[in-house]
Amino acid sequence: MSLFRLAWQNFLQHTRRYGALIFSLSFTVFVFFNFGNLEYSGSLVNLSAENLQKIHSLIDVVKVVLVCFMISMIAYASHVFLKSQKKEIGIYVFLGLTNSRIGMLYVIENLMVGIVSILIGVATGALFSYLFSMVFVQVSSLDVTAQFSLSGKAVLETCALFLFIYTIITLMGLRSIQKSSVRDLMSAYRQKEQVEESDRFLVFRTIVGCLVLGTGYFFAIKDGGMDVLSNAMIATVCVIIGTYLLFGGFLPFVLGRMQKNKKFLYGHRRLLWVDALSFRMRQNYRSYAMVCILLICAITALGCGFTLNHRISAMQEYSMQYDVQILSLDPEGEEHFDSLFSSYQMRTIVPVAQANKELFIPYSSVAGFDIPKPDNGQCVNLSKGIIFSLYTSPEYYSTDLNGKPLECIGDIRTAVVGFMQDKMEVPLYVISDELFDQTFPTEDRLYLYNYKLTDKKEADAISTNDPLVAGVFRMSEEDQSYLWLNTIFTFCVFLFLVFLIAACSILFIKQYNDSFEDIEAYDLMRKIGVDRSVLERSIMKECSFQFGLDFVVMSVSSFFSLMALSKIAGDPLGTVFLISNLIVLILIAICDFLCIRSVQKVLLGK
Amino acid sequence: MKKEILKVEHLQKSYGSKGYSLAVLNDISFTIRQGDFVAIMGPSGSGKTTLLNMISTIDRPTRGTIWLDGKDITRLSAKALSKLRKEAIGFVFQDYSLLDAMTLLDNIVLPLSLNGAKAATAMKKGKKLADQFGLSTHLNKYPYQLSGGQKQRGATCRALIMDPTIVFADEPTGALDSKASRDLLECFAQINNENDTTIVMVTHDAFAASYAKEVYILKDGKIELHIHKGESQKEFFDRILDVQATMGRELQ
Repeated sequence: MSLFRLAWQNFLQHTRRYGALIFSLSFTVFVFFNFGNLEYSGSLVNLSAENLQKIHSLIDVVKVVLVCFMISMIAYASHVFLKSQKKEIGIYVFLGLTNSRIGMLYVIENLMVGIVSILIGVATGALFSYLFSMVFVQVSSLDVTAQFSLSGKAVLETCALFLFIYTIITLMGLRSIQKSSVRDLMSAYRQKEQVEESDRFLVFRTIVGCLVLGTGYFFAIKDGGMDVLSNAMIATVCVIIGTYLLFGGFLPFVLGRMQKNKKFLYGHRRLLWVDALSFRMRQNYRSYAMVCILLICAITALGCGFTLNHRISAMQEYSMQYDVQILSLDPEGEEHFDSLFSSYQMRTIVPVAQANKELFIPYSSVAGFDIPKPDNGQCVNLSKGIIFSLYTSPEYYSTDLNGKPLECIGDIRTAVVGFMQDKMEVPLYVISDELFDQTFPTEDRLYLYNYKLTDKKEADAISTNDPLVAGVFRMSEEDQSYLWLNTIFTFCVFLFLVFLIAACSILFIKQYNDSFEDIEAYDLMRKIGVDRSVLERSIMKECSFQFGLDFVVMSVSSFFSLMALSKIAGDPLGTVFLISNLIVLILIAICDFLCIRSVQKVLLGK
Repeated sequence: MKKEILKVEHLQKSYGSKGYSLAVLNDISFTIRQGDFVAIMGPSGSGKTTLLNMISTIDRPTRGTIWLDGKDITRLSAKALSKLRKEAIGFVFQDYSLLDAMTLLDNIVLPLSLNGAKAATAMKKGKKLADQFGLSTHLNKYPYQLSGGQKQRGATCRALIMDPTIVFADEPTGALDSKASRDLLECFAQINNENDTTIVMVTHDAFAASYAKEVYILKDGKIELHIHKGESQKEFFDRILDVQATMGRELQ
């Protein structure tokens, strides 16, 4: 029997073990290929050159993220499978195979997994490329028609890149095999999977983990100016490290305590699943931490997408709120300006005054908007059309008026005074009516007449030759320059799906592979008369504990990450938190169910 | 007369289809009573493991009946058999079959704990048995930290924790050195004498068989010989060796 044939037989026998990994990798390849296809195939050719170029840049960024993620995913899965294959490899050594032939066998089998994943990913990607383009265009609200087009470059790039990654990681695994002795290959690894540190060290690790996590949460929600970005970096690093330490300290400590407390352990049939979890803790806690971090990334990506989507809509509102804005010295000019238009949907009149290169408007002129009412020592900043702000606290916008300090109590990031609010280069503040009247006499004021017209073309009727007109802002065409930003939401949604599927796959792979080591144990338990229902419940508890634990820790961390996002974006993300956690919970529950059924089938048969 | 624990009548086990079958066991009949310590011996391929599998409910015979603890196990459902295994039977396997993920104490109390017994009861019984078998100082160790003899004694404790009606041991000394074998067999003899535990042991080792009170010797699927222990263990051991030698000469 040739090596290739043996490897192929092994691959077919282990298809179930590889199934979750192939699914996750194929999906990632599918997404990667389709983004590449969008980039190279010209299916978005009808967009403006500026938007197209920016979308292509975004696609490149997302591809880098996908590649980095893919490397860590493949490395993890290879490690898990290598561990399960080592005993088989040891047997081959006893049968007289040389290290080089065994290594070749391992490489061929592993590459088969990679090649199958790539082929499935690219084939389904090509098959659904038109649908993908349509979904992409629809979700991104791009005003173009998707075209069916397949790019050979995308196919080549996808296949070559992932094959390269897979080969490198496979070769690293090969080196690991060649360095192992026969004894290492044959012996059970289970004793090395136990966490052997003392309770004191585990408690210490837990405390440090909690402190580091808490620090991460603090920096995530801390108000800051230019520090916000560095705070975000610190928060990210702290949450990753803190999660690892927490899982590596708290979990082994708690399970160890449960094991040592025999009264607890022997009651309610906990013995089997608690011991099983505790025994594999060394490998398990790293997997749990990795899954938890992936889930946090997934939720954060989705939160980012929703935030951006909302912010972009808000930014577009600046130029859509009014069709024409007329600046005039005349406070009674509404009759004159109204007569220039046949009809209008909305009209507002806003007094404006300038002091020290800052503009001020009285609260009563914008009271209809959701703006906090300032008193005489306060002001509210009307923000420009920005996506995110590094200044998360309104305090940073505090100013003074003629030497009198004004504390900023709100930073409004939605359109209040339309296009002018975004395009004026000076800050714009809302102050109390009393302060406005005290500070600015009538002769120092300008008046902004804002019209939302029934017929936009009538905006052309306004001319600066009109004696009452000091200036005019016209919105002639819908501003298309933000169009590329809409695609960020789509990218974030796909990243959310990729991370989520990967997280569920990792847990599934881990538990499914570990179950093969327990087949003899479960056979024994059935022989000594343990009820099948008891064993089924034990499997269910073991699987569900792992999924549930990751969900709970992820949920807490994602709350803080979304809170940090909402501070930067200035939008509340409570609904996003609830919906994204619900989606994750549903998917995790489905994965848990599939995992339980699969493991029960392996251990208990039909 | 002591209570009948196991009664086998005209047991037959064949493999293969109707037109082409091979009889591994052929018309086996015997009775085991409370407190008996029986060894089943025979050359390789004589059917002793097949016999053990059937009388311990792991396999079903082609023909014949097996009465275990008053029940005809050849007619019981899978659920009823599982219940019987749980309540009436203890197993000792050649490869110890301890669970690597559990300490020795956890392994010993496993059947009791998984069958819903109270934690305090399980702990008390487990420690008592461990003490009886000289394992008190090893209870918090994992199987990989124990010697073969300690593991097998631990497995025996597990087999006894549910107070079974009968204990089946399949080559219990197969993987042990002579000292560990002797220690284990001393334990078997002790529980048989003190607790009146019924033991059926399959073995190819004449020394191990000499600890039993009677020996069935199988050959070609039939009971070739049934010998009882006499005055001393040494004399019994010599007789077993003689029988084996005789059977060997017949083969030649």
